[in-house]
Amino acid sequence: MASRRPTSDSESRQEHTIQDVIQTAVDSISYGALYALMALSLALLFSVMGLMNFAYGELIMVGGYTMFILRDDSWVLLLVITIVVVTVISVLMERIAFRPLRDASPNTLLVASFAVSYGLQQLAYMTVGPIPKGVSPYPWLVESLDILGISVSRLSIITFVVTIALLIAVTAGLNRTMLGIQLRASTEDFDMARLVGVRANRVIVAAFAITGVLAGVVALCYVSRSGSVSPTLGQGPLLVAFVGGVIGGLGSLTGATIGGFLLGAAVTALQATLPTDLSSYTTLFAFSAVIAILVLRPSGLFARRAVREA
Amino acid sequence: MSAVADTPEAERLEARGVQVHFAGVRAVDGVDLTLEKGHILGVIGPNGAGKSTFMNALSGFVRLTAGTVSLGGEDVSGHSPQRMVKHGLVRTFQEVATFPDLTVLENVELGALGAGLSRRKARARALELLGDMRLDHLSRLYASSLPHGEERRVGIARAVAVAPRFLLLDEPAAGLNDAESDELAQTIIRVREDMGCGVLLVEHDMRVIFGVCERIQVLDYGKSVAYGLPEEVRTDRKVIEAYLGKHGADELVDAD
Amino acid sequence: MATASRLENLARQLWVPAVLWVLLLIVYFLAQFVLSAQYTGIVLNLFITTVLVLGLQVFSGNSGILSFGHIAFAALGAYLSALLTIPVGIKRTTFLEMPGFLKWILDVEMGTLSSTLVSGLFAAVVALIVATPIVRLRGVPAGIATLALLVIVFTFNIQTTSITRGTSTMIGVPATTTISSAFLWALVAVVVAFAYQASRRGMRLRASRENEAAARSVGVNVPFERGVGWVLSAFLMGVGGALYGHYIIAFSAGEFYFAATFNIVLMLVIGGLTSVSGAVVGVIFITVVKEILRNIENGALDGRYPGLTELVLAAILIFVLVKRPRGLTAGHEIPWPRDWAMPRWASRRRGAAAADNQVADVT
Ligand SMILES: Nc1ncnc2c1ncn2[C@@H]1O[C@H](COP(=O)(O)OP(=O)(O)OP(=O)(O)O)[C@@H](O)[C@H]1O
Ligand SMILES: [Mg+2]
Repeated sequence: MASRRPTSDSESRQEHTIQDVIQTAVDSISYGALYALMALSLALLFSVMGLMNFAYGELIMVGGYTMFILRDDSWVLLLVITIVVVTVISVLMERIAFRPLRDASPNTLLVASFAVSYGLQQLAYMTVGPIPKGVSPYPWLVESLDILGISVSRLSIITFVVTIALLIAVTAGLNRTMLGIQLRASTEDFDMARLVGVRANRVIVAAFAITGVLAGVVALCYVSRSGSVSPTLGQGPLLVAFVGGVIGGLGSLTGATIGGFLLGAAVTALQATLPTDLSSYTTLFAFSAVIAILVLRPSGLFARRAVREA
Repeated sequence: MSAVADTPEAERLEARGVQVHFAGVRAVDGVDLTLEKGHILGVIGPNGAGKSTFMNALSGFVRLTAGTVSLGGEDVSGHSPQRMVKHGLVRTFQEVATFPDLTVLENVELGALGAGLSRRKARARALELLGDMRLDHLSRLYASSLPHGEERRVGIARAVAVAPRFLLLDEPAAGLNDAESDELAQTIIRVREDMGCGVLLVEHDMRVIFGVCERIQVLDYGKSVAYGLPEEVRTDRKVIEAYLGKHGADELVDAD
Repeated sequence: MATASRLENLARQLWVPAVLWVLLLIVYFLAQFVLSAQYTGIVLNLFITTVLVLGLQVFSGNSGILSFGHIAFAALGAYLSALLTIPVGIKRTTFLEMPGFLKWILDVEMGTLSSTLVSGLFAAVVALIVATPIVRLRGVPAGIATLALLVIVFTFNIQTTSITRGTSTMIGVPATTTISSAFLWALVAVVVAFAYQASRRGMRLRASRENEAAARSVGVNVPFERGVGWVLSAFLMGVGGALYGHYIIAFSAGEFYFAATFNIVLMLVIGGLTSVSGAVVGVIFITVVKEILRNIENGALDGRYPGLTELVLAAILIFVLVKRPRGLTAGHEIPWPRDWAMPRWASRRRGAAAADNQVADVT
């Protein structure tokens, strides 16, 4: 090492790559955590009422447009209103579309969620139009922070801190509060929970409200990063979270969260490192792997192992 | 068990040392059982005793942790349910009686197809069976639209249509009223008469059990605690203990 | 049963396909003789969609496993039939980089009927190859696996430009799908779907849909039966895809992705997943509603609110699902006239094991 002193040029390039690697790693972890939040939300709804909510992506889209409308206001206002709007839409979704379908089969619920998703997208087309709108984040958000001589985008750090805090808060809430315990009981066995006196409406509305808050936060972080919103904004992240959740095990909150994290982190890392057109054949292998995982562990990689039948 | 020794091996369903464990729970813990063709054997025991799991083990629905199951002298341990059906072993389920969205006729036809009949023969057999069981007027209805008692009987008709050598029934009388239970008991006896099959009857309804069974085996905590004629089992202290607990058994015996 | 009823039995067996044929025939006559020419394309599309939705019904309806991958088979059918029928001259100049193992296709110029059948068979063979993992799954994992299949085939189609031209459209595909040929294929699809459903195999698959364990207890080999349904349905999808390709002519990979998938899934579930009648009713219902809404949007509202059609459509779909969670036909076939009064729907919740596939209609 010491024998040859690198020129200042190659030194800076080397620093540059280390810098990139670290930034990518931080990005992957923080956005992985974001996808984990989404997967957790999907798993919560799935275990409580058997709903595979395809309209969850549209909550993020709604959040994005709220941010677009409030883009010139103070960030506190934007934060609060975005979360409130998304939560309200989430609860309305339950009230209007899913409550009447409470006892319907998962297939029916799934198709109903398509319809909700499609309807919200169309509403966006009608009101704001198909052209993506720019939501430039506050300048201080995208600034880099110097940590131990390495600069990392502040947004990534915030995303990471916020999502981890939320994951911890949700976990604690589910374990400590009465409502949380009822929710968890419902995810284990909804019919049994109903029998022992858990009020179905309360629990389900709570599930939609919680996942709404999470979707609001996801929207804030995600849109700040992507910098624009369009009617189909939610589809990409939804698919990643969805597949990640299933790989991890949608029937288990922990399993889904881990699955969402891993797939989300992998996707973020891939997007940063591979040229986009090359990553397409990667998609092909990635999805073949998904099928393989599903066949080997249908209830998910990280779900509590179901009792094996012959 | 002198009666058992008389029949040739070919006519028996035998379980030896069957164990089924789930992540630490010893649901079935070393049970022996012999069911002869033409006989009705009752299996009773408190809730969670392992009766259903044992039946799952016999019919290939759950993996054996240890032990063997043999049918007519042939070792069938670990065979899939489909292969068990081919060997003439057919079972029903505790909770489910029928395929709800299929018609009554289709339900029974599926059983007949399971016996390897052609489509036409299967239909004929199904119609005949429905006639025998006085269900033929319902044949075009969806099974889900039947009253509970009739749905249960359709479930049995479906199993019988497979022409089993050994028929395993898991709580067929669950949810039936007394009249329906009696009718069910008659049906079971008639099936045994007509088909000459061996019947394993898991049931909580003691009227049905004592009404039809020649022998009764009692399970508790995954183990076989008693076996014998109905009268013997009825007064067996271990059996009373299993149901009432030690304390309850003492009280009962004291009262006598 | 009395001999007099033998005739009735036969009539009962033919009743459902006959009614569906008449329904399609009415649509055909309307398009040919009553409606203006602008509807020809819409009705033609309706017939092709009927083939596709019936294709999906053969697998999903009988197995209870909602597939999101079936459009992939339609894509395979469309591409293969196009490659087999494009005039040799055009092919030689368009597909300059055709890989060696497929070079022979440049010299082939088939008729549309044979290429359609070959395409159906090709889709069926591909389905057979991928069946092994799929048929072992059920519920949500099965849905995701089929979705993964869709993504895989789409990615392949986008990337393999030497064969599919990727995001660019196909060139020189003969426009051979006419309203009459699409109509005839729809009739064939009705018969195939119905015959399968009523067959021994179909009945076994339906039993596994109702309750997998109970089906196994009467000797049903569930993965095998699923595989049969899967392959047969892929055949219909391949045929439907070929028909679609020869109708659209200039199609690209994007034609066969999420939008198309959601379209056929919606139609099937709205009509009633578990019945052949449901598939046909769903296609007709959604097509008609869409057209009425579009007419209102462009006519009375003068195009002032673009997207209104889709928004109202979504609302109608949710309304229908709420009112009839098992679809317009409740998942049952059109009943024989004298059976209208029979109790057809369960008024109580069925066993928990069957809960995945059932809904209490009367609450
Ligand atoms: N798939 C499983 N995984 C884990 N434990 C199980 C499983 N199936 C059964 N058990 C356990 O095994 C034991 C025996 O259950 P089983 O259903 O066989 O009892 P049973 O005698 O049929 O009861 P019942 O009379 O209530 O039907 C119970 O403790 C039950 O909780
Ligand atoms: Mg039991």
